[in-house]
Amino acid sequence: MIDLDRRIGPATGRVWGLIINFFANALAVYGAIGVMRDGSRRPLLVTGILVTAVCLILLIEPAREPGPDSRPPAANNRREPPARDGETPPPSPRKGKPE
Amino acid sequence: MPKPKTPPAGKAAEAQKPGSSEESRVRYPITAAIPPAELDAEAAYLEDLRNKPLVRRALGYLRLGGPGFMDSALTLGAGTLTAAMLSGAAFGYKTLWLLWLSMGLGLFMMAAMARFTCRGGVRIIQVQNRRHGWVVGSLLTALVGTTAVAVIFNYAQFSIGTHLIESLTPLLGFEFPRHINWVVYMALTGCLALRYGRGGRRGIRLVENFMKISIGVMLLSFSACLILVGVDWGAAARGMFVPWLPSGVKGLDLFIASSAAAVGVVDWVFFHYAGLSRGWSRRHEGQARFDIGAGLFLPFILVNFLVLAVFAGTLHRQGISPETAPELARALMPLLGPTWSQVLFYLGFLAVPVTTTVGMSLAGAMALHEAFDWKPDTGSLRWKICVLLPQVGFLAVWYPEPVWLVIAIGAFLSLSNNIVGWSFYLLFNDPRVLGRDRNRSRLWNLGILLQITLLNAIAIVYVFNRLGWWAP
Repeated sequence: MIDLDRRIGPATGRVWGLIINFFANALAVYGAIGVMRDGSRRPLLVTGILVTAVCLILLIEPAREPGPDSRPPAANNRREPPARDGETPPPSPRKGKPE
Repeated sequence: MPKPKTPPAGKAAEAQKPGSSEESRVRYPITAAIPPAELDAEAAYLEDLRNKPLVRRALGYLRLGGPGFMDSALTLGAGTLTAAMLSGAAFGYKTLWLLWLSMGLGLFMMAAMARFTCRGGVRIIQVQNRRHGWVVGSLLTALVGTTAVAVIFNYAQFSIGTHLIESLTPLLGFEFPRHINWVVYMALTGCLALRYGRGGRRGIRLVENFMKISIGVMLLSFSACLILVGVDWGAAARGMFVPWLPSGVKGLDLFIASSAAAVGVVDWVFFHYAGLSRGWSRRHEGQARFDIGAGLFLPFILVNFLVLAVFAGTLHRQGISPETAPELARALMPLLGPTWSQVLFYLGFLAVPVTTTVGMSLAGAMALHEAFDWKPDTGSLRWKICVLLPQVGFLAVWYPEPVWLVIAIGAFLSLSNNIVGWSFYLLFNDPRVLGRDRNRSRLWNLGILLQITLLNAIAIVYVFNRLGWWAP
């Protein structure tokens, strides 16, 4: 399963998931308007619903248990050596910054 | 409340102990007026209740309940009741299913707010400011989502409240026009809101009990009216469990608006801070969930059902469908029959805007204090001014709502409610906020995400409307 709390660029996977879900919702609503008005835009409606469903399936995953060999979520995109068993993971320097 | 046994010192201390989260448990200043011994006694009583049979446990929780009832009284406002009356008059019982669906979806986020209150013990807007920035926390959640809503939408409460007093008093044998009765409305709601938090727990309980009694009045009076009108139970059962919508884009519009509008940012924020004001801790989570179910979910469903059914059984049957709340109420009166039933209906209906104004005054003041990181001291002049801010709605007696402001706030709200939902979802899954107590349930996340998706749809429909792509 994808680690949603890993940073990808400026935001975590969870934030990107919410953004993609938003655009999929927009696609579904746009498609639904066409279908209800004159039966057009059916592929857009289907695509919007499918992408929304995929986003929801991914986003319902709770945050992972931070194991002894895992770094704090905020630091996951940096190239730091993994903490060894029994070691306290290094504190994230970005802790407290907006996501 | 029965005298509880003194709790073991260790347990009392545990309740105040910081969680495993990085955010430490802070005592909300309004709670500071409550002696710690009282909080400990309540926690011990709750501990004691856990081993009692279901009925006794429920009764105990009911007696201690408060924030859920306050939230329910806030949500059941002029807008919600007007929507129920319009739906009943226009579609009969057919849209009943939207009630439990909309409130049911909202429960997941409310339960998350209970978790933030009880296990996190954090002031959520402050956490948002630290994690997601001032724009999401102070601006979108506190100022736009709560304070602006409290001030602007209180116009409608004043408008309906004063109309109802004006219509009720002739039935009691005297005239009390709205250009005078607004003073009584303002004095009652203002005094009640100002009592909150004064004298320790007494002030909080006074307001909470007023809300509970008002909900009771709504239930009793609307039930009496429904008994007079009669219910078509078959149609009501179909309406409750068989989904139906008007055809076309109008149906989609109704679905999105009804599903997402039941519980919003103001409800989330108010429940959280009302819980903090009560000094809820880890041991109150069961109580908090019960409060959401019995204090928020049930009254919301029942009151809406009763009102919708009264209008379905009268105006819908006669094919009359006025468009505003006062017109709807006036049209209903001849169909209710005896004067006492009309008085009951007006009394029940009057409890709706009164409790909403009190709730909005408190929610607005709490949010405003959080937005600017002010200490909420209920004895201070600043707190009193903030509490009384929504009373500016008295202008509704002479002037209609300022349309440009309603449009601006509506736009902001439509476009920002979902962002606040995203923020709470992210915090709920963030180990740095709740530590071990963060969400671990897929079902819980799914419920929250479904509500977020509906809030997204509101924002999308708003933008599509502006672009001219949305034509009901």
